[in-house]
Amino acid sequence: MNCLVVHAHPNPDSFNHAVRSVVLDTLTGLGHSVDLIDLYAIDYQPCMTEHEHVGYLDLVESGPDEVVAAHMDLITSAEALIFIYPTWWSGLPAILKGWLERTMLPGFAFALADPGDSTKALKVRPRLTNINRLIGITSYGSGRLEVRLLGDGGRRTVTRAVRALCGARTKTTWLPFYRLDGSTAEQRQQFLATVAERLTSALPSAPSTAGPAT
Amino acid sequence: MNTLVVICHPNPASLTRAAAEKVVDALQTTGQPLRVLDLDELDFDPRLTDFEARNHLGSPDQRPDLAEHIDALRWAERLVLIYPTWFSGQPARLKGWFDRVWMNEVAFVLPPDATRIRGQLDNIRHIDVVTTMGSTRRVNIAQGDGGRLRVNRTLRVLCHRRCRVKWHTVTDVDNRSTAELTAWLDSLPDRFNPTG
Repeated sequence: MNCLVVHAHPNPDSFNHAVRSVVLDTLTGLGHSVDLIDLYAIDYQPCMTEHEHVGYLDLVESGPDEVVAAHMDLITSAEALIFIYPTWWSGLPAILKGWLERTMLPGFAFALADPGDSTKALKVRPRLTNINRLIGITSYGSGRLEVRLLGDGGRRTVTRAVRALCGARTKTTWLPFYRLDGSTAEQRQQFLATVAERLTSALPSAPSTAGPAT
Repeated sequence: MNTLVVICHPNPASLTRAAAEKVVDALQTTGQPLRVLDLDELDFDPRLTDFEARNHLGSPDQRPDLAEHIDALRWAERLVLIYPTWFSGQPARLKGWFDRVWMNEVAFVLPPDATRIRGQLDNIRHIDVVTTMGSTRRVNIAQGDGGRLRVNRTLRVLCHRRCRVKWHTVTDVDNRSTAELTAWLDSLPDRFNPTG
């Protein structure tokens, strides 16, 4: 299976990078082919430009920026899309939020219905039907209860807004690590093991060993 | 009342920019102290740096490049955010303004042995949000409405305990007539300068 990992954390010594190493090792070990977009490492520019906004609706045809186009190609050939990032102020880091804004373009990630269409609530139609597994792995400074009370906007962005671009049968896996600042080395180690385990069950190694599709 | 306006939109011809102009004009005529941070004009880099991540409980003194923003945030009694809603939330540039400027000792502190952060922006008693949405309200809610939740909950709890949030939104922008959009724009000055 083709897996695309999108990673956003500025500090190479962070726990987030340790999570990423486990994800990459696990996926490779399962025999999947893995592409990685490390947004900080490529010095990704997350702000939509004036040109991109003016031509937004036709940008796919008129030719997006070459970095954006390369990322669109990676998404097109992916069957699993995996986000790894820290949650800041109940959301995605700006560099990742901007990646969604610049990459998930109309005519590529979704199609807009005709303006005259009366079913307005459904006017955004998904185009990323090649993605059949969506996975979010994130760390929080706060505990689970507080995250819930604050609305968990980041989780919603992944499991609802990005999920809405995928096919009807796309499954979502959510792997949160709460209260990072107060965590022990043992808890972090345990989480890494959980990540490996959950990825293995979500993305089994080969169709022949996975049994009949259910 | 000290008012800080934060504007974010890359396109000068956009509805958001037209709204920003109306709001700033109205605020100027009130004669109240006003500061404007135009994130695009300032080419604000929203990417939290390696240094900032490693020192996320560090001091604002270590962030000379953010001094203007930090000073304005501490000065404000009313915060006005003007932006387009993209992917159900604030654009990356504004999200990064929160990530970087709403930092330790400015927006919050984490007392020793505490498990929860404590808000530090007692100075902010009012938040106004002026935002344009391409989608209908239903679609935004289906997408999780993360931008609204972030302001109403996550950020507001760092401000004065009685801080009120007011929303000035226009939804479904692509399907509205010019007359409707103009009417929305024209309704803004009254909201920011009722006596003007």
